[in-house]
Amino acid sequence: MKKFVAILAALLLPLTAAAHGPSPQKVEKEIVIKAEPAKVWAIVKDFGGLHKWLPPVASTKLEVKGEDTFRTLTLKDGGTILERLKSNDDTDMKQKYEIVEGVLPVSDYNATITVKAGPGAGETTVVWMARFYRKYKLNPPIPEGQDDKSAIDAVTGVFDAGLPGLKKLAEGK
Amino acid sequence: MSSAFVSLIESTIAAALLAVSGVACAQPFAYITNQGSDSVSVIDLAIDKVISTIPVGKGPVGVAIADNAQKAYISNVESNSISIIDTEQNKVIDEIKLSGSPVGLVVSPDENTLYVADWFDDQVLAIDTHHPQTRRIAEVGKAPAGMVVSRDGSRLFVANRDSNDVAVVDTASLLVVSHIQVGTHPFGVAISPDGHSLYAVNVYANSVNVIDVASGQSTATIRVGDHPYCATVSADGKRVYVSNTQGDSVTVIDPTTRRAIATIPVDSIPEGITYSASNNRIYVASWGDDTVSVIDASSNQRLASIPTGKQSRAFGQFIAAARH
Repeated sequence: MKKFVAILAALLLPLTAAAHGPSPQKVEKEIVIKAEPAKVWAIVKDFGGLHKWLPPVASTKLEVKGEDTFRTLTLKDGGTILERLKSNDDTDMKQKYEIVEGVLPVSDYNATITVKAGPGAGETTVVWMARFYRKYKLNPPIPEGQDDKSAIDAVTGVFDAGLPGLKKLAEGK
Repeated sequence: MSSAFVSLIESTIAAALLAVSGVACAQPFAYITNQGSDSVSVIDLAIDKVISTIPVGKGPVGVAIADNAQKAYISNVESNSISIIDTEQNKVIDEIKLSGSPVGLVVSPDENTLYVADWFDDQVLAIDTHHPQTRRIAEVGKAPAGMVVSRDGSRLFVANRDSNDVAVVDTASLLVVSHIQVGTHPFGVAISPDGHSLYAVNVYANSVNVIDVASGQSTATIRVGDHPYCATVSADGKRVYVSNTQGDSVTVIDPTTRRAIATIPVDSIPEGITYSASNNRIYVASWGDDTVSVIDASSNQRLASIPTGKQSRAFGQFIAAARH
């Protein structure tokens, strides 16, 4: 009888197996740039200058409200993203920021850009890492374009466009 | 003779031998869930190295240890199940299938009950560890997350992430006795070894509520770092350690003065944290660097980083007692 119940339970399981909440997702990319770390950090640190190295961004509007610094990114494809600077650490050459709201299909997105010397002399390694959830945080069924894969693909697209853009800007001139 | 009494005698003798001999006994092991690798890293705390990697279900997060039964329970959030690990062989020996999303786990002091917080169905399951198909359900609040049990096993304390409270549950009836209001988005909870104080970590408020268990009142709110998730208490109860996921740090609290007294830089996005009495160290999982940071409690310094699997979380009490 026990075995029968177990088999029955196993057959029924797939009907409910979709029920799980959103898990935090991670995208991490890095690039090596042939330029001095201080030069690369100066570009990254400039919170209002993102359009200079992230191609999908048409313009960046910087706003300081009290102790907080925000930027509104206007995208070439349309739509905006509002982000808040959490910290720029000159000693560690690390920037932390978060998305407040916007067209990227993510929730609770916060990211860190770290600038480090090496591997070789005159070289800099930049690591960009984000933690976020999918756009739709409630129980499935998940609306199209708001699932884990859409979130990961979107963030990966940003990093894959931005890091080469940063490299080009830093190595140029 | 009850098994609890026997184990009390055993641990007293072990502690006495340790004190007399001055030689370190076998150290405990840490069971670290790697959300991104679908595995558990087993760390030997004598050498601070991973000695085994155990495949479990998908997206493992929570962990709870039953020392006498020599079992570790792992919540597989994305495959809706609990993996049961035999901590002597470091192998999965069983899997409990559920319908909801298990995240937080805690074992009762007598090890007869595994409490599972299903934060999607807003339920806590009380599972009989000897007969895992036998389950009772408690409705406790919204998005139940971290849990601890009182020393006598009679009360379960549950952080309700989306109702900003800690539910006090009578474990015999599984009825909520009271709700204690805390800060916004409480996730992890910890209880002092003497059972008198409860600490609730409020993710959005960047604070910890100190709760007097006897009165059920919050007696202090202490500011910590950015987006704190979890807490652990030292063996003497004099220090509380809190992981700050966005501050990449651990805040050290003195609960007597109700102040944060130190902030320790650790590896990125630190989450699950547990104090180890055997070596007076704190271990904290790093989701961002795929490591466990090791902190020396006497100096409040990070000593080392132990590489584990991807996106380590280790949510819960993750250290299994040493075996002699």
